[in-house]
Amino acid sequence: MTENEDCIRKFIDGDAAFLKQLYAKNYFGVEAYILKNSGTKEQARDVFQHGLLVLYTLLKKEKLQISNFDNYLFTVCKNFWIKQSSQNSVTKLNTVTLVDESPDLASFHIEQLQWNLFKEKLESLKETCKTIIKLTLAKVSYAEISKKLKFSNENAARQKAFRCKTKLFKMIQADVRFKKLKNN
Amino acid sequence: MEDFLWELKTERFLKGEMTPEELLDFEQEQKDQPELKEYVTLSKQLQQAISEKDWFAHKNTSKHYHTVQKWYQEVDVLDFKEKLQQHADTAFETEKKTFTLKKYWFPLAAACIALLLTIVYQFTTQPTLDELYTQYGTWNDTPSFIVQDQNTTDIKEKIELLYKNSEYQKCILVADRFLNSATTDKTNVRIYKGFSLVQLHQNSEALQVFKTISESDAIDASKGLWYMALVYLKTEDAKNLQETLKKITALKTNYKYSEALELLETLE
Repeated sequence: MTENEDCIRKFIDGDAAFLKQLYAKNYFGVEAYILKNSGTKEQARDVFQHGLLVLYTLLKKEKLQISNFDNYLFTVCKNFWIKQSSQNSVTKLNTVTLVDESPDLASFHIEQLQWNLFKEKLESLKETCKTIIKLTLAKVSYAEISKKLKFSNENAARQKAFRCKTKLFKMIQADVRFKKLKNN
Repeated sequence: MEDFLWELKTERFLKGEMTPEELLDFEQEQKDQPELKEYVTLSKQLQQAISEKDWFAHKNTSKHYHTVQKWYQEVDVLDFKEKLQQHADTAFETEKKTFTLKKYWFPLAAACIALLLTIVYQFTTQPTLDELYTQYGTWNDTPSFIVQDQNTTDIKEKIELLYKNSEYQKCILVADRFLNSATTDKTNVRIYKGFSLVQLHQNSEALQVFKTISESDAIDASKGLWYMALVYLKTEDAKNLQETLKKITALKTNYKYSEALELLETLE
């Protein structure tokens, strides 16, 4: 069993020593990110708690395979914060709350899986495709992309971006997870 | 080629660059062509997945969503949530305590620094003139009149005894009587007179006496400067004190040269 597998097993088992260590080891990285991105300590704690719960469900129920427990936990928390801040909503985790959090958590759970799928397929593209897609999404003009990636002209860059994007979408659509996560 | 037109339209749609008319047309196109609708949805999701600011904004209606929602209501997930909360209570309480300590650490540290500075100040800062006077202001190094001629010695011995018996007023009267009649050895008697005036806190008069000594052509005239310095020290006249000390330190053979130098360095 690798160290990562050992972490996952202890986490799912709710190993007290592991969880104690996890808070000491992983929380402050999340807090630093949230504070840096206009959040508060209280929000950071809520996000961390939500992140852990979603990760538990992803690992236990979805049998999600992850290569690095610490990195993935941070990613989940980071995405949870992006969702919260983009929607301008703050969901507080409270054991005594009467509000059912399951719809919000389920939404994020699905979205995290979609995020995994997009990221995974994007990373599997060739370097030029990856770069051109990232640049277009970063709203860099085709004139600049053309210059940067040495295309003959702006239109050639646009055509290349389109081909890369089409290829990416085909890969995503071909994946079994896509149909599962796709809206009906 | 038609697909590329989709891309051009999708790009403008996602950037919010379409006119209301174009928007209506494009929405109708999506209804008519499910492939276009999926292309637009995927483009939007890709943008949200890559962005560090946006997140998937649409409500998920997949079958899997309902399965997932049930998972978050199951006992094992709720138990784990409870377990996490317990760990959080401990972890964040510990953090809180740490922060509480931090809260008090700064004033505590500030107090320690202040105390340390006070101690350092006590040992390193310039002493006050009053403290220096306590250290240097001795008026007991009086001259002795043992080797003098009999009569004169009697008067001088009387002056000496009067001073040592703290009869300063009488000492001054006898000293004046001697100084009015004597032609030699006036410096030592003036010293007793000056010292007595100091003891009686008649500092200005004392200064005049010591000034007379300092301006005399006596071999120990520099004693006058040192005693003047002590009076200035006593009266906390720093300016005249420093000027007088500078005069003393101008010549190594001057009385109390080393002490004057030391005192001057302390003051500077």
